[in-house]
Amino acid sequence: MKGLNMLLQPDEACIHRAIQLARDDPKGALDVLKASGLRGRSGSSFPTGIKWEMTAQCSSAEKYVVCNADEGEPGTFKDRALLELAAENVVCGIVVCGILTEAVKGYIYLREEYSSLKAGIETAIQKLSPDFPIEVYAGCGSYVCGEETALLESLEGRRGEPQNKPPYPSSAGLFGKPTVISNVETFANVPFILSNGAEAFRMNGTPKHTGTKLVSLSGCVENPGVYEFPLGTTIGEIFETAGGCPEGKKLKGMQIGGGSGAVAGLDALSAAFDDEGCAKAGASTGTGSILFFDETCDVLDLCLNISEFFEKESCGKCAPCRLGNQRIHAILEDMYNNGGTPDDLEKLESLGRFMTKSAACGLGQAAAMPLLSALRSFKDDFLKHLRRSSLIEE
Amino acid sequence: MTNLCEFSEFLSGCGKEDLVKALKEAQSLWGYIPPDAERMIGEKLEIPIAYVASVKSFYSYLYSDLPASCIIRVCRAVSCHVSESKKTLSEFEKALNLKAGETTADGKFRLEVCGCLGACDKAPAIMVNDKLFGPVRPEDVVKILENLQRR
Repeated sequence: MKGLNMLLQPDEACIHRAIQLARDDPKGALDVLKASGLRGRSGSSFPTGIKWEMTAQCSSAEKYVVCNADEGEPGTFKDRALLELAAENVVCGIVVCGILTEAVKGYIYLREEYSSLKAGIETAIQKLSPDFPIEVYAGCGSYVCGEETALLESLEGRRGEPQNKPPYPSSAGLFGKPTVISNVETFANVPFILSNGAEAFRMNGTPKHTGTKLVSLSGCVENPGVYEFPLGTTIGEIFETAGGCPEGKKLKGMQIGGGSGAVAGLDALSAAFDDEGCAKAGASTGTGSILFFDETCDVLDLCLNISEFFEKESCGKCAPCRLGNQRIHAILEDMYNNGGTPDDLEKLESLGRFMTKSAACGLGQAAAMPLLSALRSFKDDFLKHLRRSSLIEE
Repeated sequence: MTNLCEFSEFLSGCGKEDLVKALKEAQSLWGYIPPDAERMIGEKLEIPIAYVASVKSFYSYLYSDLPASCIIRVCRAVSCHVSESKKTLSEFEKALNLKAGETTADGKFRLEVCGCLGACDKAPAIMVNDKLFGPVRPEDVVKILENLQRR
């Protein structure tokens, strides 16, 4: 199961058939994409066919396709694997999208840390896209630029600050023009779907969340790496396929969906890994990453580390995120170093909920999710730090 | 001086949307973004210098002072943290006699912390300039620095 061995494996014949179908019958190809039920593979889960159709229907002489290869969500490395092992699948998806939307140019916003993959991607572009220009645009060290509107700001030479939606990129995106912006893995699914049909794609996954998902596994697991699973496979089965718990360790919990995902206990092993199944466990598939941690992990320390990340990566534009992340970090650090104060848990809960409702973009809205879920699943890890404070006073 | 002329030529082909590219080009010519280059970008692209400075400060990999020939970035995001990257960072700090964010006096090494490198299956991961290494356990640090010193 490791690697790209199902729908996402490189397949040259598939790629050529897909591009030909898009050229011969763009409307038909869009219908196949819609029928497949493919949803965005970076956490948005928005139906891809509908999204691409919105841009296709815009009447503008200038339209763009942007591939979001700014993979920065902690715990996630599936796009790296795709760009390294199946760049042609990804480029095929971008070319097809360009045909269906009548775009004038494509961009691949490639994070700077993946610059070693650029040459391979450009080879794929030269091979598959002689007529449709696709530029590989390098990022510059910013997690928030993975947010679609921040990415477009960055592409236009500005600070990567997320923008209000509506308008959505599909009607007013890059340079104010209709733009499709989709994830690497979303594009990589196109060759299989167009070449084999919607029904073949729907044979994997669940009725509401179709197809396969690349899962990035790390932490306390015998064989960390990227795996392709049908959506709906249980987390427990995913864990066991990857070798389960390493010798001498005991699994304590996991973080599901990425660095802004829910922190859950062992009960999450029975959850089905798809949007519905994860929602029941208080989580979401997110970027498809699962970080497993063992009994040596102090969940407060885990949340402290996560809060440091979000404090640093916040673009700073809106107060709930900028100040919320600063305060959460400060409180957790105080709890970790000095035991904190008795009302800290209440403050953290309140800050977290406020940020979820008031932050201007997905970063701020999700940054406190790990903490809020950890306070439910691992309250003792927090309480023991508070108890330490009262012991010192005695 | 030569660099400024070369840079001016580069900027003649640039529009406002090329601001980040222009800053990166300056960095590739000088190793960092000198004030003169920043001013030139503002003038040629017709962007207020304050905004040029604000874009430069936004992105982690744009430098206002000469970084180092060898930038070591230790990932401190959650997957690497769970694999004890804190100890790896600590060993680098000890061996280089630096705190993260500092450069050695001879300008050879700069030590930084960074967010997720997308190499969580090789945790704890580091980047040395544009090369990825992992797993880099605390006990591997001295050997890595010795190899880098030799180059």
